[in-house]
Amino acid sequence: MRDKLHIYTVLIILVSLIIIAAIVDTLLQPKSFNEHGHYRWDAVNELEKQTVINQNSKICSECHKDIYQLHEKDAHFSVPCVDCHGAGNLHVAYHKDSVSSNITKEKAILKKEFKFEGCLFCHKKLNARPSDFPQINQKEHYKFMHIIDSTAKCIECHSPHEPIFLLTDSRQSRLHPIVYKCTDCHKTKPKKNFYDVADHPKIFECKDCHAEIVKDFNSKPHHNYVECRTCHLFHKESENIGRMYKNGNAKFCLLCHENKPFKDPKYPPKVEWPNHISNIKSIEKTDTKICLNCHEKQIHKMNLQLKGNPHPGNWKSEHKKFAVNKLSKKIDASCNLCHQKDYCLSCHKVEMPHNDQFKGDDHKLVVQKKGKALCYNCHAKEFCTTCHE
Amino acid sequence: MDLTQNFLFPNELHIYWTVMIVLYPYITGMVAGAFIVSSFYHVFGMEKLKSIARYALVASLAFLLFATIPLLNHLGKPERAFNIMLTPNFTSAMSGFGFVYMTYMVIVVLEVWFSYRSEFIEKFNQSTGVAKFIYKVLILGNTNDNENTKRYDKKLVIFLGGVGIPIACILHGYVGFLFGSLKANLWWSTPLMFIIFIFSAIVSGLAVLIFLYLFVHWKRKIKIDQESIDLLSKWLWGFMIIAVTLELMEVLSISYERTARWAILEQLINGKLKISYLYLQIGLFSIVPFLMLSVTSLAKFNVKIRNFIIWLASGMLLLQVLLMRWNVVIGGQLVSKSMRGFTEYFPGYFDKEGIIVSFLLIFTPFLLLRAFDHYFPFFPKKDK
Repeated sequence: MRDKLHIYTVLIILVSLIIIAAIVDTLLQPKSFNEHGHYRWDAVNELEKQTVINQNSKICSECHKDIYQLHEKDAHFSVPCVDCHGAGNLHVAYHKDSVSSNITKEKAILKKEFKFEGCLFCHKKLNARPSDFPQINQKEHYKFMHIIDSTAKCIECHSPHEPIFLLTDSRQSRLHPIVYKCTDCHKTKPKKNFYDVADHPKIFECKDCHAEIVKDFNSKPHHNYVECRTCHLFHKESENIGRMYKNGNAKFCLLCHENKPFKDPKYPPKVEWPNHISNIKSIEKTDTKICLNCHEKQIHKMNLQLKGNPHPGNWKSEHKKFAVNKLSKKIDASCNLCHQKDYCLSCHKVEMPHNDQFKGDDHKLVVQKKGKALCYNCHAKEFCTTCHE
Repeated sequence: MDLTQNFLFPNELHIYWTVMIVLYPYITGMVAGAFIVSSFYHVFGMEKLKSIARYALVASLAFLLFATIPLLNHLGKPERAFNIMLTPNFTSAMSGFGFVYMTYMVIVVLEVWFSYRSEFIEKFNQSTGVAKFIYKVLILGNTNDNENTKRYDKKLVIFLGGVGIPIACILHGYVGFLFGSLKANLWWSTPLMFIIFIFSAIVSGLAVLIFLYLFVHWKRKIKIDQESIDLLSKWLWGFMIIAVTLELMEVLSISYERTARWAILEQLINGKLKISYLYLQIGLFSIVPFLMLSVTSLAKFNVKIRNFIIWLASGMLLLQVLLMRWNVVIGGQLVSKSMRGFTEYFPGYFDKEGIIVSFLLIFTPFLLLRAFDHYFPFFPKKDK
């Protein structure tokens, strides 16, 4: 027995450890663990109570209105401020009340550091990304832009708040149809297949609709280096429609043509900005299409007076008659052929054309919420009395 | 430089199981391998391995103590490691490692304790002060050491060794199972994975023991137990043949089936893994040691040269197993789930999970082994 004592001691220690572990496990196991599954139920409530530290972009806009407007207008409108600048809770709390918030100025400073990974996280060329999403192979992009310094940062050319210098709000950019089905061009489906028709395009390209402009462009120097979509940025939104971003902004031209230390000074032709236009008195310096005023001929024919309205005449007051179907005398959904549903809604503040339920109870709710004045934008005041007393 | 290729989903740009997950099965493999070697003497009574058995057992413990460190470094928040003990999830494949590891740790610690009990008592009798107190705690206050106690201790060591062998196989087989059961991964998903892992574990265990044994004996200029080394080197030769053949047969079987996954795995083997798998793992570090060990096992020639070749071959096989872990763990993640593209991985030199940290993690168990050897020498310091 004495000679086995050490073995029993070890056994007793082992058993004791198991018992102690079981007791410790019972004592230390979180209270609500296993109540509803293999997790702590209280954690759900605790997480719910946590304060949101990520600041909404609208909160940022209260102080940084100018940047916010730029950001909302341009292609990065869907990227919230916190994605690049961090949560921002300390920053906001400090600037709202620096005394009682007990936050030091250093802690309140938002990060602004640049990292290639920051931009390339979304814009690195990947075959898996939708092809119309802006993405680059850094090496090829720099080669194409004739950037001689491979360490040059993205933000040296692109402003994160205004990456492609759009002239109008990206969400209000012109909708451009994609020819996808026969009936996109033909009124009824043709009997012949398109490949039985001589010279019928297999895939529709710019030249198939804009032959004259493309022909002109092909005779100009730019055509050797860029294509239509280099400047006319197109973002596909569905199978048969996308948005054509309105361009021509001088800052967009300067992405290639502004002289900077990290760019090849010889090619493509560079200008010193704004010295390049400082001595030309005949031009209006605030004109955003300032480059095109003189260099239009090097690109293609364009009507610089066209201010963005693709429809003729006084469209705003006259568009109703185009929306009315001449046969049925009703407003039909023909706007939706080019415009998205919410396009009409953005001005009319109510779904256009009205759906069938609208004539029932739905219009009462709209009148209750938005007032009769909304109806008078299109209808005469007597319109309501045709049904109501 | 952009080294990603073809079609890659955006969430596949970075790989998530880093070089730390390469080291974890590598170190675990050495644990299991060394333990199995020690059990050949303790359980199966192979007298030729007597001189190496205890050293193998302690080596197993030293590696075991560090097996989880790469995992903890990878996951971060190491203080949360004990939470799995408080809220055990028996249906989780990953938590399975915790349970098997704990069981195995108890077995190895007890086996080392029973093996070294006489030495502990001897040290207790010789030492004074704090050291005496430490030894007293270590022997649990029991200084009884006679033929009877030694007999009981030996019986227990045999029992623990016997129980330990299947646990060692489960410990490392489990690591292979974890990879092999991930059906979404083209390179890992095979039921053969855990068998390959067990055999490569035995190879790494044997290799590390031979490598260290010969190195220490050469450094200290002490007599080598040639019978033991010859036997170990023959086993190393045999087990490496089985391990490498299994790996190659696995690839051959996928290749012969010509299923959809082979289209991309072929590109992986001939592309991203060309150097680390084809040239290094199979070419330099499998075929060359195989030839070297074939010569030492089949031919009789000068002992010194033979020992040098065995030492070199065991070192190369250590690297072969490390490369095998790298090619499995990293290689499997380089392939896109789309089966059409590849990503790229380099651990970085000074990163938290970089090359410097990896080297430190690999060498720390050897330092512990050296410290243990300082107090309880495995081998005589000099030839008497």
